[in-house]
Parts: sequence; structure tokens; C-alpha cells
Amino acid sequence: MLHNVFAKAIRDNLRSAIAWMTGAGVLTAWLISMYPYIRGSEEIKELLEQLPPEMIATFGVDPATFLTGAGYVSGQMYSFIGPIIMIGFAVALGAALTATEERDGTLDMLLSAPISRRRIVVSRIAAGALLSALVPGAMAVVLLIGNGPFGLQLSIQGILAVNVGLWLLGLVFAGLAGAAGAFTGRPGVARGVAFSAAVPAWLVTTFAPVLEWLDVASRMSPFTWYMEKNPLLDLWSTGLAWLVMSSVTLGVATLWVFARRDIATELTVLPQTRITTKRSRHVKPRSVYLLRSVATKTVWDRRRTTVLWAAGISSVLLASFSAWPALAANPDALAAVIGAMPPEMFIIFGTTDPAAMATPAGFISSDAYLSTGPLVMIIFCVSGVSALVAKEERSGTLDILLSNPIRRSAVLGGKAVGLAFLAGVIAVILTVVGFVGNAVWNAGLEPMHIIGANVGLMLLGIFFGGMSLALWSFLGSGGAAVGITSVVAIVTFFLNGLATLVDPIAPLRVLSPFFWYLGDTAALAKGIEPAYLLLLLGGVLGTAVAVWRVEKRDLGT
Amino acid sequence: MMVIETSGLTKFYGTAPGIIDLDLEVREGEIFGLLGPNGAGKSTTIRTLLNFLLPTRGSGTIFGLDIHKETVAIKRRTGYLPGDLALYDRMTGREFLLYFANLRKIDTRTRVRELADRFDLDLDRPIKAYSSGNRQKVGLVNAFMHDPELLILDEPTGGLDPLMQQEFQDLLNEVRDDGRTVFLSSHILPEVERIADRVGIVRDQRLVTVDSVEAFKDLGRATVTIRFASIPDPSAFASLESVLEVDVRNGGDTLVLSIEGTVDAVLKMAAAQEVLSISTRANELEDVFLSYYTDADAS
Repeated sequence: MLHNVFAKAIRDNLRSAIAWMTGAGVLTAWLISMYPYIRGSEEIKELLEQLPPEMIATFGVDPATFLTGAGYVSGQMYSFIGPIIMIGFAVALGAALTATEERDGTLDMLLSAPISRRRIVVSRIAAGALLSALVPGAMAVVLLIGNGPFGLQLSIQGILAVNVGLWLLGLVFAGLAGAAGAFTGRPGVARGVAFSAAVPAWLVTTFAPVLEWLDVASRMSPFTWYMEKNPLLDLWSTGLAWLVMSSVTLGVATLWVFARRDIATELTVLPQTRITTKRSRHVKPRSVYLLRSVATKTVWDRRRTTVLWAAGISSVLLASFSAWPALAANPDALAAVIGAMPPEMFIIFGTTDPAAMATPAGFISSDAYLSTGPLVMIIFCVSGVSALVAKEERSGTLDILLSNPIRRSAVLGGKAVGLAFLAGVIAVILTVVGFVGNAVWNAGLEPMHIIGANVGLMLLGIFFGGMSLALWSFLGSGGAAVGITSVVAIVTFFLNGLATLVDPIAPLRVLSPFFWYLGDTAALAKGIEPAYLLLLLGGVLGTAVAVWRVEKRDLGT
Repeated sequence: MMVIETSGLTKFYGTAPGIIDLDLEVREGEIFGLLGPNGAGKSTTIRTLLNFLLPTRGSGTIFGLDIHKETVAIKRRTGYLPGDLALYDRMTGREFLLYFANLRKIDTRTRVRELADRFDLDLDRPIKAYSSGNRQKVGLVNAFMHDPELLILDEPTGGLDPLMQQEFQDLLNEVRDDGRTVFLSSHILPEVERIADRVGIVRDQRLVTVDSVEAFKDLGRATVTIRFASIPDPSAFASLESVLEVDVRNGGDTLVLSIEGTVDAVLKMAAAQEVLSISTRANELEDVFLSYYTDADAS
């Protein structure tokens, strides 16, 4: 696998490709396995007819076809979740085209081999295109297998068309990331440019059907080219040709720019085009005050990440609030939808009282405080430990840090405090968003319950952050600490739900931190629970163990 | 024949100069050392020669090939060690070297084994587990493994212990004996003095002088220390044409003379009295190098 640049690009990205591919495949399988419950439901049909068009638009649901296999699959999988997975992976590949290596400094070495810049880019584009095809490829295979058994009645050509479309959509944003990375040599900028183009493009396409003034803009959005027509029904449309043309254009632009640039310099200069971007040599004055201590430096390190993740959960929370009035108008229909699905499906995911899903607290909690929210919060805290502590040991900067007159335990404690503070910042932002959402969409939630839910969410993150910190202090490896914490989180999450279904493991339920967090009541239906104290104690204990252990361990070996 | 030749090669980063009006000639079969303090423009020169940076103006050739247009052909015949060495951390040393051999489409396994033995380098550990010295060795093996006609080495001995530095020097001598060429940069003066045939000194983004190491040594002054049995007359020595400066020490029986040219006149005058001991210290490159900087600062 080290035969040439192409093969090495495949090798380097194969693992993550398999992860993304598996995720997409499993999610598709999960969604189509629910289709038989949806198909025959009169209540859902009724609900769809009564939903406001804005909401239908945002969820990519076409009421006329939602109950058909093609409408269901494109609404559930190909209008939102599919593109997120596809673009997430494609942008990572695009940023790695040249920018990641340029940042790491290995590009100098590579270019000292007798291989042209153009050749490197072309090889990597080919590898990236091939790897990114694995995601829609896996989805297509799942659809082809599930088509008959779940009664989806999709045409084989339709399955092919929609997945080719998804792949091309990914290539456009990969191309954008690649071009931005080739231009600036900075992977962060590459990802930023691609994502900040993707979000408005998606919004424009999504809301264009209800907001006429967006029409012109939506003509130029790749999402419009991709999903204006439903490829599962309409097969090949001219939009696909636009996707091909724009990704090819971006690829050519990448080649052109990269062949004409100074590699890995402080200043990025394009002499031929007289475009110069300057990197500031000075730290911005307003953030300097954060460099006073280890704890505040932690805040400084993660300030952008924190805002990003808080915005992510906030948008999920607002989406749930905004959907509530439409659902509340049809309580029977909502109850029917919930009733149509087997209760086990809810219980496995920790909702022991499915009927509560029809209350505002239950419904709004289900995304922001039961599934997406906890996932994001835990990832934030655990990846924070990995980035702030483990990476510092691995990259050797911990040596420099500890050459100062400061104890190891103080360094670690400072970082833990900083990270916990940031989890608190996210909780505060969510609380404010919760109050606003509650007022705007008349959800009628208790203010104390909104605060309680966010305190619980924060403590859940702190619990798992503390755990990964303790694991790191013994293992000395960030990857292993993240891996084990993730497995523990997944296992205890499902333990909480399954323990109510499977008698032999029922006594174990009290051991799950998700039980302490969720209990049998939706997060937004309760205040600050005594059980939350267990989460806090767990987080403090994990940190204490790490602080104790790190004083007694060899560092950086 | 010139292996590297540049004329008026200039690189500006925006408005900040990297290297200005570089006229450089490196001959086939020599070891050329580019000397200069940090930030003088050594790495900029090397990275421009390798087409990592595009020259603002001027031009250059390596093997008579244009450094910008024919860079791939140049690199086929060149080995490079970056000053700021970055390697693929997740690979083992062996995988790393295999990859770069593959990119050159040649089989270097025998040569890699040989070099790894000489450098006492374990190739089967992940690069991230290497010490900085071992990383440097991987970089050196990568530069030498295909026996290139030209080696471009940016600060090559950083992180190497004295034993390995000796091994590296032997390797360079073999390269020279083969008639191949080495272009290296360094700020470690004794090292360059030992290794290089010719030296170029860079100061403030400009190449200020180029000459052979021997010529540099002859160029400057020598110091002669003479201890007499009785107190000599310093002014007699000071009047000699070759003596620049006289320093009286040790209660007057010792003279430290700074001389230019031959020691003949000094020896003859000293022989008139009883001499207990005499020592001379030849000029080192360091003196020349420092004089370039102090002279420039003074002027």
C-alpha cells in the first residue's frame, strides 16, 4: 500500500472511510427497518396533511409521497442525514488533499521526491473520489438488500441515481475544501470554508420552496442541483451535470493554485496573481488575558470549538421547539405516530415512558437532551481531554510546560477546571436558548426544568470527561482513553434502556450514568435531581484519580 | 562543471526579504557549506532551489536544469534533508523509507539496510516513538539511500551524537570520493570547517563572500604567545611590520602577539633572548566568520 501517492492516500484514509461507510450503512438499515410501521399508518398521513409547509421543507418530507418507499427514504435519509455524513467525510478528505501535510511539514519531504505537484494532487483527488464513493456505495447496498424485505419498492436505477447524486454532492464540497486548502495551506481554513458554504447552501435550497425571494440563490446551490427532483423517482436530472461541472472546476482550480504557490511559509504568496494573505504575527490583544494560567489557556485553546458545539446543540434544541406547535395542534396524530412504533424502540434509547413523547417536555428533550445533545456534550468533553492533555504529552509540549515551576497536578487540575468551565458555558448558552425557545413557541416549560436539564447535560459531559482523564493518566494514550470511554458510554447508554426490558440485567441499571441522568423522566420535565450529584462526584473522582496518578508516572514515553 | 548555479536569485515573502540577489556556484564533486546565523536566508535559499518557494526574481539551475520548470528531473538526481524535519508519525521508519523509494521507483532496500546499520537505527518502530536523533537518522537515510548525484542538506547534524556525526562525516567523504556533490547549510562552524571544501557566508539575506576553507584560514591573523626567561621589550616587537598588536602578560615575561603574514621576523627577534616556550594558534573559520559579522556591525 506504499506503492505511490494514490495507494498511500487510500491507506491513510481507509480506516476512517470504513467508519463513515459503516455509520451510513447502519443508519440506512435502521431507518428502512422502521418503514413497515410507517407505511400503513393513517394517522401519519393525517399528520402530514396538517403540518405547515415550512416544517415539511426543513425535514425534506414531501407529504404527497412520504408514505411511499421512495418518499420515505429520500425524506429520512437523502435530504439531511445522508448529505451530512457525505459532506462530513468528503470535506475531511478535501482538507487532507494538501493542507494537512503542509501544516504538518511533511509536504517538503514529499516534494523532494521526483514527483510533480500536479501528480500529487491528481493522485489524491482520485483516491479521495474513490474513498468517498464508499459512503453512498454502502447506502446503496443496504437499500438494494432491504428493498424487497421492507417493501420499499424502489427501482434499481433510482437507488443508483440518488447515490451517485449524493457522491457528487460530496465531491463538490470536497473540491471546495481542497481548493481552499491548496490556496491557504491550512486545513482548518479548508474545513471552515467548505462548511460555511454548505450550511447556507442547504438552508437556501431547503427554504426556497416556501420563501420565493430565495429562488435565484437556490438555483446556485449544489443542494438544489442534488435534490430539487427526487432521484429515486425522477432518476437522472440535469442537476447532476451541474454537480459534475462544479466539482471538476474546483479540482482544476486546486491544481492551478497549488502548482503556483510557496509551500509552508509564514506568508502565503501567489506571485503570479499578486494575492497575498498575511498571517498575523501577534496574538489578538483581547485573548491575551486568557494566557495567564493553565486553566485559562484551556479556555483559549477551545474557545472556537466551544462556540461551535454549543451552536450545534442549540440548533437542535431550537428545531425541536419550533416543531412543537405543529405537533401540539394534533395531539391524537402525534400519539398515534408514537403508538404505531413498538415501545421497545423508544425504551432501548432510554425513553422508558413513550407516551411522554407526546408532551412538550418529552418531545423537546428527545433530541437535545436524550440523543444528539448528550452525544455532542460527551464528545466535547472527551475530545477536549484528548486534545488538551493527551495530545500535549504526545507532541512533547508537556515537557516544555512542565519545565516551568508548576506541579503536574496543578497542570492537570487547571486543564480539568478549564474544560469543566467550558462545559458550563455550553450549558449556559443552552439555557438561554431554552428560555427563548420556550417563550417563542409557547412550549410552557418550567424555567427550573430548563435549568435542570442543562445542569444534568453538563454533568454528564463532566462525568465522561473525568473518566477519560483518569484512563489517560494510567494508559498514557489519548486514543485508548477516548476509545474505552466511548465504549463505556455506548454500553451504559443501552444498559439503561435494555435493563428495563431484560430482567436479568435489571439490577445493573442503577450503575449506568445515563440512568442517573435520565431516570424515568424526560430531562426537561424535572429540575436538578439528587442523582446528578453522582455524575458530579464521578467527574471529580476521575479527575482526582488522574491528578494523583500523573504525579507518579513517566511522562512522554 | 557547475552543479548549482544561480543568478540574481531573490525571494521576498510579501515585503519581507528571504534571500536577495544570490549568485551562487557550486562545483561538481565539492562539499559546499552555506554558513550563517539563524534567519540569514539559508533555508530560504535551499527551499527556493527545490521549488518549494517560487523566486520573486532571478533564476537558477541544478545540473543545468531550471529549478522551477524542471524540478522533477532535478529531484530524481537529488537527495534532500529538510532543516525542520517532519515525518509521517504513524509509519515505521522502514515503511517511510519504502514509500519514498517507491516514489523514486527504485529498490533501495539493500542500501537502506546498510545505512541503518551504520547509523545504528532500528527501522521497525513507529516514527512517533523515535527520539529526535533517530528521526534525523531516518531523514539522512532518506537523503542518501538512492546515492544521488547531489545532496542538499539543511542543518544535517542536528540531534546527532558525536559518534553519529563522525559516521555522517565518513559518509560525506565517500560521497566526495565518488565525485558527487554536497550542498549543506549550517551554523555550526567547526563542523563546516571539518567537512566543507568551500564556504559561502550569508548575512542579512545576502551572500557576502565565498572562498575555500583553506583560503579563509590563511586570510586572517595568527596569534603567537612567547614566554621569555627575562623581561623583553614589547615596543621592539610592536615596531615589526607583521605585528598588529602586542599584549604583555604574566608580569612582563610573556608577550601575546597578533600577527599578519609570516612569523619569520618575530622568531628572529625573539631568538636574541632566551625563550622558555612558544605557541602559535592558527586562525579558525570562526574568527573569520565572526569578523564578517563584527566588521559589518561596526561599519
